[in-house]
Amino acid sequence: MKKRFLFFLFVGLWAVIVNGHNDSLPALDKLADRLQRFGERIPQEKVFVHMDNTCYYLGDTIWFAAYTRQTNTDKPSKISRVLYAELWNHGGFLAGSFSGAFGSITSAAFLSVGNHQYFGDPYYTWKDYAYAAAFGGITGGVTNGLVSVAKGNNFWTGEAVAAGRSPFVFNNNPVTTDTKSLSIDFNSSEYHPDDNFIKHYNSHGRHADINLSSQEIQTRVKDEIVKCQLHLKVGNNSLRGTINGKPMTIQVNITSDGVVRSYNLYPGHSARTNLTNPIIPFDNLKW
Amino acid sequence: MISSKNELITRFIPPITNNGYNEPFIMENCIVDNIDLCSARFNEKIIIKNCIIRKIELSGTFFEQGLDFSNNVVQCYIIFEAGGHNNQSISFINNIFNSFFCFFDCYFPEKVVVKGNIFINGSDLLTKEDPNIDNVFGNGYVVDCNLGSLDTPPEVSQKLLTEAAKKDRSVLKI
Repeated sequence: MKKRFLFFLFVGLWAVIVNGHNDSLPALDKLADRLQRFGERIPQEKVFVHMDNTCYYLGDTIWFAAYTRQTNTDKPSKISRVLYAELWNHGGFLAGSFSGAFGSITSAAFLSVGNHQYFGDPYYTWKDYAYAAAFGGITGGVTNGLVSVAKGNNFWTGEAVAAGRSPFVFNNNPVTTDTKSLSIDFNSSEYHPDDNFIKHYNSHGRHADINLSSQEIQTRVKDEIVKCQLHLKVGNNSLRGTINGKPMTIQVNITSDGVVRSYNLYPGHSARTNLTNPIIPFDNLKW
Repeated sequence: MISSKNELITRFIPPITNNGYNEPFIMENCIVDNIDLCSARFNEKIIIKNCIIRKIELSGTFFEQGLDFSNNVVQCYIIFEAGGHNNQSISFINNIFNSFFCFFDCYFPEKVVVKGNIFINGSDLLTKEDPNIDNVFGNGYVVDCNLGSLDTPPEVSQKLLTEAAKKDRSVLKI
């Protein structure tokens, strides 16, 4: 037993010594070298996609630029030639697609956000709406002419995108200052909240410190509601923040079609009317 | 004037008239699934009596010529918010409210009469939370012979309402 052990020890040491003489690289450098050679023989690419916004409203145009870089050199790649982009809605249906030439640096294209009904589903949250997912993928590459991009990176999160046609999803905070695609309806045929708001909001002089006309306050309250429209849910919604440094609440009740049934502005914050919907914060407004 | 008697009604919304008010109505002996009076503004007295009502919505409802709400059974919670503005009395008499009845930030220039009701989960009609949002009674109120709390603390109100809202959602499966 002892002899056998000594024999194997001798053989092992001999192999290490001989190998060391043949290759002077330390183990780590050797691995790096192998990786380098692998990258040269079978080049890998990373795909990057830049978007012009972090979320989109219904009907918006999505502009994006995409480029690939080789993983071994981190230089622009010329391997892949076609960019495929697809737009999926929250239900997992393809809402639009694009394919075009893929340059070494960038290739700009656009898709239109569509097939969304934000208010059609009471459980359809603003996050779902912001998930107007864009997808970048490249074909024509190295392994049997199939998908060449083993991995991509989500530009925003830095997280890896799985191989193949994996959509990556943006869930950054939506831009709420853009009111161009207003879908909140203050003037439906069934409800007319404007008159009641004017009469009620200052019914016992509680907003006398805001030195604005009723109409001006109403306009600002409505603007604030519109700004928060992506966060609104069916039923009562509480928008909480401060106006001129004082705590204020804007209460708005909407239907599943985005119709405003009532809205109100009151000083302070109360838990009583905030039931199942999350509280929506707004910034310190200077009126 | 809309008049509904002995009817089964799924959803009732008073139409808006040309002069900016809502069509006034009388509802008697009806079984109603939903009475939606959000942001309604009535310049005539509204009467709802002897009805079984699953849900009534009163956000921003103005009863300028008063309300007679009597001998009804209401199954769901009610939020009467930012409303009132009555030049005549509003009365709730001999009703059964199976869930919480929330009065929030209402302004009642004229009298409010609450008599002989059963508030199974209570109400916050007289709750004091913040003078800016407490209900304002310009000409006082008459509260008599009711069962159930009318000054439920705000935290309890919120808890009861939240539970009721969740229950309502699950019933409706919306």
